[in-house]
Amino acid sequence: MNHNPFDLIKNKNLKAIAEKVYEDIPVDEKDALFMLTTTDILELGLIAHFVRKRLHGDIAYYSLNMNLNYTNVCELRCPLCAFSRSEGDEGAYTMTLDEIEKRIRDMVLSGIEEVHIVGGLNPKLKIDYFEEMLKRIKSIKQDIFIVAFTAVEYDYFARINNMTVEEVLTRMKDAGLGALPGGGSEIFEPEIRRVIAPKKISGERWLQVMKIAHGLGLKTNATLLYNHIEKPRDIVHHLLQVRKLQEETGGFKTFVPLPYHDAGRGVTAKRGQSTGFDDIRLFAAIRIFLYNVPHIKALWMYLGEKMAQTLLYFGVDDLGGTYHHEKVVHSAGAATPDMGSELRLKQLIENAGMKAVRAVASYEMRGNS
Amino acid sequence: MNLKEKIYQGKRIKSEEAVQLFSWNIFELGMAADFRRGLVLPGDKVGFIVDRIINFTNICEASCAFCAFHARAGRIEPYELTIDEILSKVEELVQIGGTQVMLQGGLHPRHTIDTYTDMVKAIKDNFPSVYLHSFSPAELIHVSRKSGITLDETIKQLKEAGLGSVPGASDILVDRVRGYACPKKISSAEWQEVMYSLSLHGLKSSATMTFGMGETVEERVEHLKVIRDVQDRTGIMRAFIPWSFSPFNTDMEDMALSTGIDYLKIIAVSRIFLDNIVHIQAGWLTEGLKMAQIALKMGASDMGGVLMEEAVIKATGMENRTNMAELIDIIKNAGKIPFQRDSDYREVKTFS
Repeated sequence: MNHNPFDLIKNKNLKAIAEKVYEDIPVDEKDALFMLTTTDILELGLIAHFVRKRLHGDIAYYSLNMNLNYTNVCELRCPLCAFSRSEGDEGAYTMTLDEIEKRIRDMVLSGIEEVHIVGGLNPKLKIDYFEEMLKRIKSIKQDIFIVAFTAVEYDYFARINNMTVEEVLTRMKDAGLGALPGGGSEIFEPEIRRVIAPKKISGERWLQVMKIAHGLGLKTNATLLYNHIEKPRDIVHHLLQVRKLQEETGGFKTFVPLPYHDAGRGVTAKRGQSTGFDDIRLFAAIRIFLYNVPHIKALWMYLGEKMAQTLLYFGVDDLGGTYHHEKVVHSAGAATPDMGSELRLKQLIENAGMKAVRAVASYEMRGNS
Repeated sequence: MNLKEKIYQGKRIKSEEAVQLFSWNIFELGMAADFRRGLVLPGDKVGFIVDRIINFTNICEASCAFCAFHARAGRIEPYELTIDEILSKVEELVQIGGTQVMLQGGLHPRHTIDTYTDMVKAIKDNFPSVYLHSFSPAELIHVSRKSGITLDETIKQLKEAGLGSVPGASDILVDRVRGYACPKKISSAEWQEVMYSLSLHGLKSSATMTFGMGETVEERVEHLKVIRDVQDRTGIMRAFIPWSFSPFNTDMEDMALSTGIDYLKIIAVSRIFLDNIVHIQAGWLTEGLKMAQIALKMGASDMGGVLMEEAVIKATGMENRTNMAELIDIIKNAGKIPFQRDSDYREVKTFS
C-alpha cells in the first residue's frame, strides 16, 4: 500500500534503524537495546518483517520431526533444568540402542523425516554408543535428517573419551550426523550463567565447539534462553557473540529463542510465561540484529500456538516441527498439548497468508509442498 | 476518498470496507485501529475490573452444539448452586476488593423470574455495593416465557430487584451459523429485541462475538453490523468483546481452531467498524495473556476482568487464568498505565 514500507514509522529511533536496514547496514548494540525495550511493536514489526521478506519472501518452514532424549541422567544437574536426574534417582533412564532403534522405526512409519537428539551428560555412555546410534538410525531410513547433540555434549564426549572435539564430530558426521542443535548456549554472560547453569561449559567454550563444527562444514543452530534473570544488555551481549562468530564462519543456519518455564526447576522465571510484547520485541530485534543468520525459529510448544503464528510477522520464518516425544519441555509444565500435527502447522502458516514449505533442518524441501 | 483516508479522518466505514480490512497486512491494520482507539480514548490508560463469574447452574434446555459446559454435554455433572453458595462466592470476591458479579446460568426448565429476582435481591441485600452485570439476553427471554410475563416486565422486575446491567452474550448474530451452533437459543432478531427492551428501561449492556464457528469473513462483518445498528439506536453497549470458539469437548470438535492472527484482525476491524462503542476488550481468557496484551496495540482499550472462577471456558479444557497483579504487570509491560475500574468504566484506582 505504501511506496516506502517505512512511511508508517513515527518513532525516531526505529526510523533510524529502518534506514540502516534498508541500506543493509548492520544495526549496533544500542539499536538492539532500544528494540528490546520499545513499546512500538507494530513499527518494530514492520522492520523485522521487511528483513524476513527480503530473505524468505512469503515462505514459512515446518518439519515432520521427533525428539529423542536418550538419557536424562546428567552430571550437571543445572538449576534451570527440570528434565535431568542423577543415576539411581526415581525416573532416571537411559535408552538402549535397541530401544532407540525401535522408537525411531515406529516414528518413521508415522512419517517422521528428521530426528533431534539431545540427552544428559551420562558417564556410562561412550563414543561407540553414539556412533552406533546414528548409524542404526540412518539404516532405518537413509534420508532421515539427524540433528544431534549440543555443544555441551560434544565437549563432554571429547573429554571422557580422551578425544578432541574435532575427532568426535568427524566420527559423528561419518555416522550420519546432519546438523547440530543450538542447545546449551542459554545466555553467554558469565554472571548469569553462574546462576542458571553453574557447571555447564562456558559461553566461550560453547562458541569454540560451534566454530569447530562449522569448520567441518556442519551447520548449526544457536539458542537463547530468556524470561529468567537476564537483562536486555545480557541478551545483546549474547547476540553479538553469535553475530561475530557468524561473520567468521557462516555456520549458523538458525537462531532459536527459548522462553524459560520454571515449573519444577531451581531458577525462578521472570514471569510464569513471557509476555506477548516481550516475545515480539525479542524475535523482531533478533531478526534485525542477526542480519547474517538466515533463519529464525519459533517453537509453538514453548511459546503457545497463537503466539508462534503471530511471530511469523515479527521475524520468524520457521515454525519448527511436529516434535513427537518432546520430553524436555513437557517436564517443565508447558501447557501446549501434543497437538502440532502437520495439518495444523500448515493451517497456521496459510492462515497467516504465507506459503507453507515442509523441509528438514538443512532447509532442503521434503514432500510435494 | 480511499479507505485508509476514511479511517484516518475518523469517518464511518461500510460493511464491504470492513471485509476488505481483513486482507490488510497486520501492521497497517493494527496502526489504523490504534489510531481510531486514540480518537475515542486518547492517552495510554488501560482498565480492568475485579469481578467474578458465578455460573449458578449448568442445566440448560438449549444444549448448544458449541458448548461444553451444559449438563448434557456430559463433561460436568448437572448442578445448581443454592442462594447460600452464591452468597459465599460473592463474599470471597468482596474480600479481594472485587466490585462486579456476573451471574450466568443455563436455560433451566424450572427457573422463573422469581428464581432470578431472588438471587439478585439476596446479593444486593447482603452486599449492596456489589454491582450485578448479570444474565444474558437468552436467559431473559427464557425466564419471561417460563413465567408467562413479557420481556419488558421481566427486565422491569430485575431492575427493581437491583440488577445493574446485562452482558450482551451475542455468540454470533448470523442465523445461518446459529442454525447449527445453537439452534434452540434465541435468534438474532430476539437478541435485538432484548437490547431494545433493556434500552427502554435504561439498562446498559455490551456485545460479544464468538468467532471461529465456521462463519465467513462476510458473516463476521454481518455480526458487527447488527451490533452497530443496535448501538446507533440505543447507545447501551459499553463494550465489545470478541472471543474465539474453543471446540474441545463440544459437539463441534472437528471445527478448525481459529488462530492468533484471526483474533488480532478481529480486534482491529471491530475497533474501526464499531465507531459507536467506546471500549473494545482484550480477551485473555480465550486468547491467553500474550494475545490479549498484543491486542492493546491493535485497537483494544480494556483488559476485561480478573474473572475469578470462570467455568464455561474451563469446560473446554482452556487453562488460562489470571489475577490483578498479573494484569497490572502485563499492562505496564505494554507501556500503558493500568487502572482498576468499575462496571461503568470509571476509575477506582490507578497503578502508575
